[in-house]
Amino acid sequence: MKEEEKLKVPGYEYFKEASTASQAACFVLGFDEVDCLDDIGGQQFLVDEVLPKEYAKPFSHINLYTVDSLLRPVNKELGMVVAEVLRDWNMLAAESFVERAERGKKICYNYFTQSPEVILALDMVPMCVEVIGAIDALLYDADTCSASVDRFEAEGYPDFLCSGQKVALGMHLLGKVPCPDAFLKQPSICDPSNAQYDWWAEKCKVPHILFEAPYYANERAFRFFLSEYKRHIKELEELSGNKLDEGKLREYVKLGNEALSYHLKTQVLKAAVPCPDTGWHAIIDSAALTMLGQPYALDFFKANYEIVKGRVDRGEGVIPEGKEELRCYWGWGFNGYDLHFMDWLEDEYGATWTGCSLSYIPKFVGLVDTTNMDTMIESLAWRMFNWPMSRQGMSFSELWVNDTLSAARELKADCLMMGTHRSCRHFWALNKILSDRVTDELDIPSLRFEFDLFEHRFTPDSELKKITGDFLSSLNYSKLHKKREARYK
Amino acid sequence: MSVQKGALKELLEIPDRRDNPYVKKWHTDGKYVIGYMCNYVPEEIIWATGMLPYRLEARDCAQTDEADVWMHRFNCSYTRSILQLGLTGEYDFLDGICFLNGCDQMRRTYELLASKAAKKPMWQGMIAIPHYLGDNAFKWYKEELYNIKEDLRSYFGAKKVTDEELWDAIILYNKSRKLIGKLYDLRKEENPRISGADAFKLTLAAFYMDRNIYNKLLEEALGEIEKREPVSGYRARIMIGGSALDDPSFIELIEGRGGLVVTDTMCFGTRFFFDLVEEKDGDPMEALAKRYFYHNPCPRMVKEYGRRMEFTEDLARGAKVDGVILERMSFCDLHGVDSPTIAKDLETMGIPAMVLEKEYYMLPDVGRFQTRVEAFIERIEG
Repeated sequence: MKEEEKLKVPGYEYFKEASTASQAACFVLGFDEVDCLDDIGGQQFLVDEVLPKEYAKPFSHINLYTVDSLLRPVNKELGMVVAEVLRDWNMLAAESFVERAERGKKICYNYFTQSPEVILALDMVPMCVEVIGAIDALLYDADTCSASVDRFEAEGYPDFLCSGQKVALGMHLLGKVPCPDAFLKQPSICDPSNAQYDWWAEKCKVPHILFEAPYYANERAFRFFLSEYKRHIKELEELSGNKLDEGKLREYVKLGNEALSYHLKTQVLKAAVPCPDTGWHAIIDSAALTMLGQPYALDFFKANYEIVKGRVDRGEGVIPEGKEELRCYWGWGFNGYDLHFMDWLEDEYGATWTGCSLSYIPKFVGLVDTTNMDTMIESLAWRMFNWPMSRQGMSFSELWVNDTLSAARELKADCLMMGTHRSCRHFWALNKILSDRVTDELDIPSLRFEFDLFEHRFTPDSELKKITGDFLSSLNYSKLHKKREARYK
Repeated sequence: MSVQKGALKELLEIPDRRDNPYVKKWHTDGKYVIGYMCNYVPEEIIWATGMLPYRLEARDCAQTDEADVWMHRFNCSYTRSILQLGLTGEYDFLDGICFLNGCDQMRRTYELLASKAAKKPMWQGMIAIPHYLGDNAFKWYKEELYNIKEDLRSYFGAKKVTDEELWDAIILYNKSRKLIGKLYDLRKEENPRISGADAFKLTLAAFYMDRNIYNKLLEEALGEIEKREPVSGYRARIMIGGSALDDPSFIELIEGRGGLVVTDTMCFGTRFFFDLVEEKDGDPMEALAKRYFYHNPCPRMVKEYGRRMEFTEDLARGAKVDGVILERMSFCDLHGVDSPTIAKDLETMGIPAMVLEKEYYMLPDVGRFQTRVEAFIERIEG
């Protein structure tokens, strides 16, 4: 298909442009000795004078928080990998819509807790709804993402719904993102996402394939979950017209295992003092976990592991020299539009990001057993049963609280940041319990504050900085270090 | 227990949770009271085990200071209100709580009621219900019901529940459903003899008393209603739906502006009593599981929008409504999506509909609601 014909295929144009915007970011990252946009004359100068014409247009409404974060010296090496991953993932998405138009390849919009290997092995394209929203928030300026939110809310839907889905729904209503061939969802996790996926599936009149997890984290519940997962695979086979092939699945699973093993190894390294990892890519970690079985996840997690390993070997941290470190664990996660915020925390307050509940994988999850079809299906189900947010969202508060305490302990946290997305009903009903338990059992301080995952207007950047800055300024780092040392003696 | 004031008056007063004579009598008889919140909890199982199922409600709760400590204001005011009552001791009479994952906020409320509000050890049971209707999901739910029955019985040292006892409970609860059905049928008349607010009060009373007494009272009350003067002079026949509502004052507000609420799609209304448990030989647990699992679904059940819409339209047409008011509580995600969608579809069918955002405690907003309801009725009147 020629380019002008491709541009008529629904979905192609948006993702092609997102790929070009990412390539523009790669181009800017290619300038040596540039630490921030101002070093090269700022955005407008770049658009008018420096960038090739094809990059200038998308760069004129790019998210400057993202670019400045990628350019930061300590982030730059991984920043280039992220920009390339975004470029390639978006290009593949764009081409997938063309493939669908040309030969009927099926595209599934899936929830972020779903590991995509089975979808890939059935020769379908997995596209995570929350990643689609994240791309709008990450790549483009705030007005772009807000326009998507406004479009959905203009239909009469309330602002308190989760922007994790709302942005993608708005993009759909704006004509950027077409209907998929099916929606895939684990409905046990949260209501806002259930309601919005259901709405979209109803609007598109396409199958909504579910697999349920019950409330408990025990053997009986897992057996049920496994049976649900198998039932959902049958439905996917019907949708794709293909039978799941063991060899093909193994290929994707191995690729996913390799990527995940790097993430798990990095997680272990992050217990090192000083913290060897940067916080700006918190949301990218979560997004990359939705891409297991694809090269993007491997490229990202491997690159990050190598960078982090290098720092550990050299005994380096990520905060400016002379700053005292304060190790933060995030009980929820952070927003997806302001990567630079974590840079600011590190630079201003020496506050490092040791991990968060949106990307921390408990040790017992492990890798997928590739022995045969049964072991692969069972351990993929096990992974999803215990995946970040899946495990915590489906069950009693106790599970979330205990997992957070355990991770904070393991990662030697000095404080717990409980900045949370306004639409996470679960967290807002357990945050006080968590905060109390953190005080009682770890004797570390915690801070609760509100933001929206993708919508910058909810808590302005200045306010986020004020809230966190005031809190960090009030802490006695030395005292907290002593407590930490005593804990890990 | 004798009722001097007449059945209708007795039911219209709705037993007060702070001084509920039926609960007191139950306790005096040495029996237990089990709280629950969601329509997917089969009351018959609790009843057959010899206990009184008591649906948690928060009528008259005007503020949630204590609850807000544990549940942020990003959680809905209905669940926070219930927690508030728990924390301030108004639910101290409960001997147990039956949890069910009806919605995210509800399930967290149970945990907090059990861990922060309970002042004595109490039974805590959990029924995990899947979010879609299908064979595998049904099998799981049925197992959950068997488990809860046994757990409840063994915690209180009750004797084994027989099938006969379960069938008796089914017949008793079906009778309530049929009687409430009759009450709703009366509301379909051109000039019904009961207002929407009063009909709602009569329905609500079912949750707070011995069901044998309730059935007897409702039967008598229906007779009393037949002798009442018909309601006249209303401006529009209204149907209500949306987020959880257990407080008749919202209906009183609508009726105070000239609307007459003639039916609803509420979980404290039609979704509570529609669909009987099938009374035929066999396993009563299977019959209960089928009724509760497959009954008219609320938006927590995924992929059932079509059925909900059909149910809404049927009720609206059946009661000849002129307009539909769908209340949407802040932070109620499920109805936050469902209500605007239903409203839009109703409008397409030529039935005027309005979504009204409200908090559970509506005191501060009464003026706004009155204006909006008034404007909606004016729109209906053309």
